[in-house]
Amino acid sequence: MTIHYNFIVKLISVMLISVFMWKYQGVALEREQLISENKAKVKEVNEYNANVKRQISESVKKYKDGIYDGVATGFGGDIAVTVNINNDIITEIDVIEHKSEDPIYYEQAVGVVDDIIASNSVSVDTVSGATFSSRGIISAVEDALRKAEK
Amino acid sequence: MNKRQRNILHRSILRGVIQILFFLTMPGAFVAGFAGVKNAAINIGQGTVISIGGFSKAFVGICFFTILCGRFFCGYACAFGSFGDFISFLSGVFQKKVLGKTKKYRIPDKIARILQMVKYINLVCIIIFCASGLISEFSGWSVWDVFSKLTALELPTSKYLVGIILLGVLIIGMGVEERFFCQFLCPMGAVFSLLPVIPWSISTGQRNSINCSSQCGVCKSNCPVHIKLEKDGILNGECIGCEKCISICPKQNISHSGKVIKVNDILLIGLKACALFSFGVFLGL
Repeated sequence: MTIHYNFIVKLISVMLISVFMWKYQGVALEREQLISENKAKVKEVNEYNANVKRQISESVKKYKDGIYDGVATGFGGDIAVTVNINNDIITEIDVIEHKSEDPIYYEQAVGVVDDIIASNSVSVDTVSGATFSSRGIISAVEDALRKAEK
Repeated sequence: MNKRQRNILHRSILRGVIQILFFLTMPGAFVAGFAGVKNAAINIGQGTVISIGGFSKAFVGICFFTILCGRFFCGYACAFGSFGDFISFLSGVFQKKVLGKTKKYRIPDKIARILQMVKYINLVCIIIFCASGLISEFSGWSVWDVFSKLTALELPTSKYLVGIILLGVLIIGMGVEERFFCQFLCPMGAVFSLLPVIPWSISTGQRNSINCSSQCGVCKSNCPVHIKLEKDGILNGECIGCEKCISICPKQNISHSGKVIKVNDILLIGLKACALFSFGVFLGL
């Protein structure tokens, strides 16, 4: 029987190459697994960090975000408002109750709402000629803000 | 025409038919197979997981087939090889009718065997370029891509200018020497010749030189890849399984019949063709 050296050499070479490829594939798969695990961890840490930052900026604020009710006395009765606060900014004021005010005075007084929003402050001038009504609205907003304080 | 000449003619026709069949149905097979090698090299170069897609499966499958049956793929199924055979045939007709030569020109054996080493350098270069990522620089050089486009009845774009020129040079080469590309340049051929083809008679056949006349040498002078038939026999990795030696031997000293089994050579060719064809269809080539 002739010994086919050529064949044996080639066979061993092919087997060695196959083993190498198999090993490589194993290592590459492991590496890919580790990389994706790592990415997941990084994502988790980043989310945690973003969360903490959000909490810090939340804690620095004076007012909690939200919608708050406020009530005060106007010219003869109660004035009720709701105030929207976001990031320490008054974004909206709704006067929901003002039946005790005369419509003529109320129409003039309600302009104070725009002043408060524009200046983001309750230190605004009352409307002359409708002092008590505008004072009532401002006090109601102050009451709401007190509830929003931390 | 005696029996032997008829046998040679039948075999040539059979080979031509099989080559045309594979050319029309799966001309991209060699590209798909070699793409498996390139894919693995690119992945290893990047350190990523080797993607096991159709190309890898085609490559492994064709290699497995070659280990069992010899380089039947090269001799009968490769569209590029068949194309080269056709050019060579035309060149033979040209040399006979126009130049009046009785024998077709062949590069001398010794020179051919040295040139056959170039395809290994080609293979190594391509693998290195793939692993390093440089392969994209040479994307316009691929003669295979140009050939694939043409077989798909598309015109290659100007990006492939170098490839088109190289293909032109190759066609001239194919006219000068049969299987010019396959022997000297084909990286897939380099891979095949390095495979451990099982040394049984079914693969490339066996030669029984006891009956040979000392002056004959017809098998050697007809072998397109210049194999030293008296020394290695047909177990040389260069053998492309064309079976010209088998059909031309006046004493039928070369055949697929081994010591144990008697094999009908023509039937074996048919079986190999069917097996390879089914595999190609299965892969979706």
